Amino acid sequence: MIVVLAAITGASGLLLAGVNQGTKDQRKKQLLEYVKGPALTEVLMGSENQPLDDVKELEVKVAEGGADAGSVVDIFPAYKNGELWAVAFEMVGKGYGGEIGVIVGIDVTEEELLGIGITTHKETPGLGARIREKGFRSGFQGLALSGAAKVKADGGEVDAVSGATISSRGVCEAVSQAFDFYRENKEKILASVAEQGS
Amino acid sequence: MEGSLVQEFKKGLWEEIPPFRLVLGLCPVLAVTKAADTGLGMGIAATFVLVFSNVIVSLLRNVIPNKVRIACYIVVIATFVVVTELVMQAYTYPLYEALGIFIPLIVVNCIILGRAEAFAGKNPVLLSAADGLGIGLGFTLSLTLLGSLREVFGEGTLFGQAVMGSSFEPFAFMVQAPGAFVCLGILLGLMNIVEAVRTR
Repeated sequence: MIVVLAAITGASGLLLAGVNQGTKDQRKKQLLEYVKGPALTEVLMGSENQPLDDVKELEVKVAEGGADAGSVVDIFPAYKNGELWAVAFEMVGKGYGGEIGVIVGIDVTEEELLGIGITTHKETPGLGARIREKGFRSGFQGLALSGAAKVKADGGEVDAVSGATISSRGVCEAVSQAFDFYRENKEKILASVAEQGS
Repeated sequence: MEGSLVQEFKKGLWEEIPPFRLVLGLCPVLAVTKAADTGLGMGIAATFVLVFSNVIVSLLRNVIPNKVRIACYIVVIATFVVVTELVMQAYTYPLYEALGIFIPLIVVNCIILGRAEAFAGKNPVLLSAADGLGIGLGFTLSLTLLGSLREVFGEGTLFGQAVMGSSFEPFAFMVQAPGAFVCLGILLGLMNIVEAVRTR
């Protein structure tokens, strides 16, 4: 009996691992097109280029949480008048139901937050899921990169979604990580996307 | 053998069509038939899982110990559901988003576990495959029909294309939960009438 059970579950694991590997790239592409793409376009509205097409992969050591240390972060650049205007990248925060993916757009000339977009989340519909709404997200615009993003309950400036403090805090966590990431790797980031079409 | 293969296949299309005659798997039926395309998508996904799980269960029917058979069936079914989910994420993302939580729920769709226990566990592979294919196809047809009806009367479109005139006032009741029950009941009643006339 044990042999049969082990064989069945073993075969199942092999099949799943295989399909997972085989579909990895395609799934990443679809996520980019249907989920990150619309969020990026909204955050970087006004750019002359297509940020998705000009994406650069940056190998960095991310401090803690969010992406794994020593991993690759996609930097999406936006240009105006041929010059670098803004960069956007995705950071992950811990929400109520799981991870929240947040695209953070940073105005490199003004050194402030341009805007945020929510990509993936597992928050409660009608409550935590309201972090997607424009009303909540616009509360992040103009935040200085030198500080951190916090909800008003934690002494910050961001209005949390009522009844969804944990989800709101998760978004703040992602945005704060984005600030840290940008401050720590500023030269690298700017160098990688300085030239349009490089 | 040939005759019974076709027979097993055909019974899923009328005598034992889910969910009207084989009244199983109602939960996703009501939720995914708000539109025709989601109904069709769910039907195809469930058929894929049904056929493959029937085949594997049938292949292993003399090997799986009786006491743990349900657990084994569920592992097999769940494996194919996850495969389906990954493939949908990779190639049909909008449909994956539309069906949402109902894709993993295919694992507990009574039709699939029911056929594994009632048929595939006791019959040879080809017959089990035919059974799975027939019932799956019947399920797909039912879902698409129900979805089309609810979409046409509830929103005036079919597969996203407007089919009722511009003066059509959508009957919003149809795309909500009560409308789903009513629609399902009416179709079931009609099928019973047809069957009664047929066998008179």
